[in-house]
Amino acid sequence: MNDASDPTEARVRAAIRRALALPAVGADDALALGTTPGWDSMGHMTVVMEIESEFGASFPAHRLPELTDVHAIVRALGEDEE
Amino acid sequence: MTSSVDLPVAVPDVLADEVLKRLPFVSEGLVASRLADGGRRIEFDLAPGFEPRAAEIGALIADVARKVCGNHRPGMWRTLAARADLPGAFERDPHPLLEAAGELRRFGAGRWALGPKVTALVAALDRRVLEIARQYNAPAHAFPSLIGADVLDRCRYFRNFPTSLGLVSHLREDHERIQAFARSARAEDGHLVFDPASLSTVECLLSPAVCFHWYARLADGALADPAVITAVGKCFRYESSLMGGLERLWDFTMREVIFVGSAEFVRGQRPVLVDACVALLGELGLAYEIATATDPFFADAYAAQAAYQQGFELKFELLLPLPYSGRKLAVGSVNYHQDFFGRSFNISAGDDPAHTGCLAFGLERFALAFLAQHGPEERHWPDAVAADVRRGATGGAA
Repeated sequence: MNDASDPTEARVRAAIRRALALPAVGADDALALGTTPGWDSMGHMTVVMEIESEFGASFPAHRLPELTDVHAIVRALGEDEE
Repeated sequence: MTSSVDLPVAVPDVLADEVLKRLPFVSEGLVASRLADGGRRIEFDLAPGFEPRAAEIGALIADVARKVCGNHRPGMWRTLAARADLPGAFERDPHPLLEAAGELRRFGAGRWALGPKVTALVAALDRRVLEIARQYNAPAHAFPSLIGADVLDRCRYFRNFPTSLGLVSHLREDHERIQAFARSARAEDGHLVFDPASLSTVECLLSPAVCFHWYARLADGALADPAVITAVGKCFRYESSLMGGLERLWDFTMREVIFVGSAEFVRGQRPVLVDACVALLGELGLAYEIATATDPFFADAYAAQAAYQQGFELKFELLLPLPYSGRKLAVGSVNYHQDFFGRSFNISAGDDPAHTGCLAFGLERFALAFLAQHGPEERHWPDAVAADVRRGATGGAA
């Protein structure tokens, strides 16, 4: 489940907002690498590390390119728990 | 005096060099450092007079180790191509042999003069890299050794690589200060003794790479078609006590082939360039490994930048074994910057920020690795290289 009522997705959105110092993030805002202000090649690891800190997760290097939007991150976190 | 500091987390073997090569910049009093106890401790030697600061320096060392290892993600290195067979049985360090033959002369840390044979070898290797540029009909450009502070700022170089910078100054346009400088300046113990107040502000730095100039040249423009150029130039990277021999020069010659265009275009060149490098190294009869790598980011930036670079596999290094040390020397690299420079310099390709990439060779390192594997005697070299060098060493008269 990846809708706005998903608590994991809400935490991901909040972490991205913190990482990029975004003023506010709506439940339906499309947050993605390359389109969200600050989420570029330099900001990507800031986002990833904030997500890892929030969830106590650690993504292997080869998965970093997959974490390109909210839903991809939620999916990756789900797989990390499996 | 030898001191040590315990680390909260052991330095993994794969990051040992990454940690140790950043430590010379921790303190001017740090003479040497090494890992101990399986990476859980760092022992370090201090110069006389720095002993009272041992605890403070130890804390800084531990901080650097923490920052470098903090975002380590195991299992991220990949070898794309390799050839293990060395061309012969030569195992000696070529430096003393070349010095004895008048082919190398050390002027100072990271500053070496090259004799005619080594100079010709550098040129011969450069011509072979140029063949790759010719496959793209890449026109040759020339850029200054100086680079504007504004350009390096746009490259975020100050944040990511501050330790390697060379700042350029000149005397201020002030007649009395210039007179005072002329009267009093002198070299003492290898350093210029003068009044620092006579120096100008820093407008330029010594260029650490060739391709930055090209991005600055294209700044605030739109590319109708992909652009491929080549350029060679002197580059400057200060590496403190790590500078030694041709392995790590303060100033060195870099040949680059630079690609700017769409993501698809630039990404598409990487396997082509790797194949071209495999062919080049094979033709030269060299043992090599081409593997994923990271740039030498400053400790504070390392964790994030290196992980990103590794995760996205943005850098492939050409590593050549040095039989005399058992280590591998990076003589070149294939780099993909995604849209970083396109955004930083406002270069567009179509409707999007341009993507960039480059093939870069450090030519003196390339020559050293060649000499380390083949030996300095031309009779052991591939015939074509030996003939090329003979022509070059005599100014083409042979």
